[in-house]
Amino acid sequence: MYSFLTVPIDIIYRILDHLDILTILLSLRNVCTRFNIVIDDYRPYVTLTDLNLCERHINGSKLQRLSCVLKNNTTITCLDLQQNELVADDAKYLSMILKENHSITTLNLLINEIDSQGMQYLADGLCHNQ
Amino acid sequence: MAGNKIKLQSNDGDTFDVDVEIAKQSATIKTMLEDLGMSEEDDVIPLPNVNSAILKKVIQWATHHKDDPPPPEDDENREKNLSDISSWDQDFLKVDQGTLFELILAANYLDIKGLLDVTCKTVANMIKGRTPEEIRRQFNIKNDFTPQEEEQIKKENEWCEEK
Repeated sequence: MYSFLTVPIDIIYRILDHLDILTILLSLRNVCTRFNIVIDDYRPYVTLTDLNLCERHINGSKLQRLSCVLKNNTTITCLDLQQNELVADDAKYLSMILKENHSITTLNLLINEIDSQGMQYLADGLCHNQ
Repeated sequence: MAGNKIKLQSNDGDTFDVDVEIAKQSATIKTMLEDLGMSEEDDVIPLPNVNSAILKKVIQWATHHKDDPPPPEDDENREKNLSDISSWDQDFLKVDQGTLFELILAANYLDIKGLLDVTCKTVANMIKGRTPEEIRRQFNIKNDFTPQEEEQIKKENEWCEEK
């Protein structure tokens, strides 16, 4: 008897084709090691260079999870987070991304609520970004 | 040619008489008939990867969808629309998970794009908007990350996709 966990990889990819990248990155990838490995080889994920997350109500724990994914990612070069609800505390996680990820070259934070304290965190992250 | 029937045999030995036009929704069967020149009259087409219960469901689906226009080709940029499952298909797919995944595998083996799409969409709908823990519960999957990996993921579990 087959289950989600035991179906062949190409079937899992078929199912992933119907899901958006945020669900794949933040939920499915964290379910178990098999999905984690399978998704790391999923072509749209492997070749993803522009991560567009405009107006996705991203802040707090969601950004925290995203930062865990992004800090080791080497393919995404453009991260668009405009029109979310990012505040100063969220900038800490952005700073963490900037410190560890060296492939993102474009980060769009237009229309968020990152204040001067948040800017400080970002500046700190940028100092360590190469 | 209309009204011609062929015999499909499941891996547990049952034989089903099916209209050729209905059976040809399966690209695999269509190829067998057309390219390999199998005769429709007497030959039985064996389907070693499909059992009777699943084959019966597949024939039921193909019979209902026999007059559908051919499904569009795969397009990477197509809209990810999960809500366009017809109510007949929704009722048809109210089955246990084992059956649902068997249907996906049968649709894949028989190369019936419409059935493969709708079954995969049904599984995608069971995932959409769920946290990792909810997905594990939904599909009875064991969390097998190491304690270190788990620690990192635990921090993230409050997240839930916006509706």
